[in-house]
Amino acid sequence: MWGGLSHGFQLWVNLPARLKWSPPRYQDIRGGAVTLLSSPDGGALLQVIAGEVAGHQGPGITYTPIALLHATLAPGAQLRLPWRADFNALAYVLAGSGSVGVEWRPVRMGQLAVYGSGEVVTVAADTGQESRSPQLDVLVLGGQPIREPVAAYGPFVMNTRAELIQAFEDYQAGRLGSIPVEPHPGHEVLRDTTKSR
Amino acid sequence: MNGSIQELLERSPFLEGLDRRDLVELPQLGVGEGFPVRRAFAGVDLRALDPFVHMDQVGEVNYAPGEPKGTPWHPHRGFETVTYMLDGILRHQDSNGGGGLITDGDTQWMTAGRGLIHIEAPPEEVVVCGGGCPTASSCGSTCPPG
Repeated sequence: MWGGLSHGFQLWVNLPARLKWSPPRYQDIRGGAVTLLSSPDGGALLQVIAGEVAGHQGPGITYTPIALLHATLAPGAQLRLPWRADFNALAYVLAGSGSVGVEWRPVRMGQLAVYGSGEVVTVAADTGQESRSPQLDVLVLGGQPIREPVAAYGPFVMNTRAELIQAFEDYQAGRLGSIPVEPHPGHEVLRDTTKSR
Repeated sequence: MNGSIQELLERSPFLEGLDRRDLVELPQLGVGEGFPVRRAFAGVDLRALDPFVHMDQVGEVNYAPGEPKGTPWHPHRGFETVTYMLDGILRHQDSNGGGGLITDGDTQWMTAGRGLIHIEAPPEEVVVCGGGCPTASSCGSTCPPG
């Protein structure tokens, strides 16, 4: 059931200088294709979208090492997620309330948790949840930092200001592509193969 | 013919600048009409986010007929956009002939790399019928009562 309900995310993943000029590519990761995991007691369900989590590979391929998953915790459930020590770790709460980290800091819908260093990411769902969001839903993401200068403006993420200016110029000159022109669907196309007179 | 970047930024909720003072100064722009957008990484130091740079939560919102909005054609270069649709449906099309639907639980991992232009918008039937459509296929020229 979707109707007019709309809810989504757009995450921007940086590319290191050596990969910024990669050819454009799409990966369509269908909802049914994600890797499903559960915590030992079944209280947390994990959908691994990309990268590897505790030896379990998600379908999404990443240029630099990254993990992205959607965790759903039943009220009162706790999750201890093995995490690469060289990754940063972020958790964004989609719905519900709970607590994160070794200090069990409280988090609720719309808040981002930035974890410190370590090898385990912890999330716990409060025992009492609001009826409109009876579970805790969290996006957990992290990766190996690229550690390069970032020059970002609008729709471009480059390393230097000169590269940004070049991107603007390339865009305005049509070098990033142009809007495809297509014939009207269902209509035959009139081909002009003769000399004009 | 591509329009100015400023015009593009003003019309497009996904493109709002990355607000970090240690980088290039970015314009403070309003959220696109009809698009409730939450900046998930607002105020967080880029070094803590690296390798990520930005995240938008769009919705959750229940659109009435005529309300759903999309982005205009716009460019990207130098990074990847990862679009995860929990609810709803988004159609995308790009300058390389790529295109498709992202819906209920799908993720589109798009490498912009050296650059492309694309558009992201709800399909026509969602725009016409808004929350009145029980399914995509049942929503034709007339909308069921919503």
